[in-house]
Amino acid sequence: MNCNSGFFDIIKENLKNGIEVSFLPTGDSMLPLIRGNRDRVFLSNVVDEKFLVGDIVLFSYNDTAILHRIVEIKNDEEVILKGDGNFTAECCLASDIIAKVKFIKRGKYCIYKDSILWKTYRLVWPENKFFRHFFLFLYKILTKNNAQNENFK
Amino acid sequence: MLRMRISNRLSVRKVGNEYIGIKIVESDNIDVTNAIGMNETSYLIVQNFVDKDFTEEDVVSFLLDNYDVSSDLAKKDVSNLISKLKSIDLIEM
Repeated sequence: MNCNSGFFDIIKENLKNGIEVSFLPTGDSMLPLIRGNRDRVFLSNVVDEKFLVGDIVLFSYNDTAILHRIVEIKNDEEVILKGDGNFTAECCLASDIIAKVKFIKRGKYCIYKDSILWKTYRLVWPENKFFRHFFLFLYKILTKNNAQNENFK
Repeated sequence: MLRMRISNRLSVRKVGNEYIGIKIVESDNIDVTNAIGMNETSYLIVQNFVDKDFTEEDVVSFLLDNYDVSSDLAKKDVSNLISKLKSIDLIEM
């Protein structure tokens, strides 16, 4: 998302007031868990809930908002993040984190954070670059036909 | 002339010096996928024409009556704003 500080303030303020905030992320950087332009992401407030390694968070990075997974937190201040479908990491400050993902809506189904599906996915999805490349390649081939069928419907 | 209406699902908020338009899905749910940045003129147009049926020409006349702008610039600004709102489904025809 192309954003500015006002946009981030609106997200924070609405979450603080108990209003549900959602959006459709673009891009494939969180594949296979989040499919760009198809899966809707619902956010929760990071003021009330502390973020941990493994959480997927929305953070401000060079004037854009990025949704990636926390892979490391250094001294409670510096946060290292990486997209599940990416091979390089980003670094931001804890204060750059705007919100974290509460659940993902895929069609009629919701994948809740801390659900069995979410946890299983985290355990199974490889960290290793070689295996990640291989599984992403496999995922894209396997889902290509499904995507084409959906387009015809 | 094509009449239209700004959807009441549009919420415009002033943050600092800028205005941001957001789509309200339900009273307790907002969608920020297509948040749009607005200038003060766009904000005033929205304030003035919300809950009213209008044509593009009505909005252009409003701008010409209230601001020192050329007809061409007013038409261009209005057309841009309406296109932005249409793209996120916030203009009802």
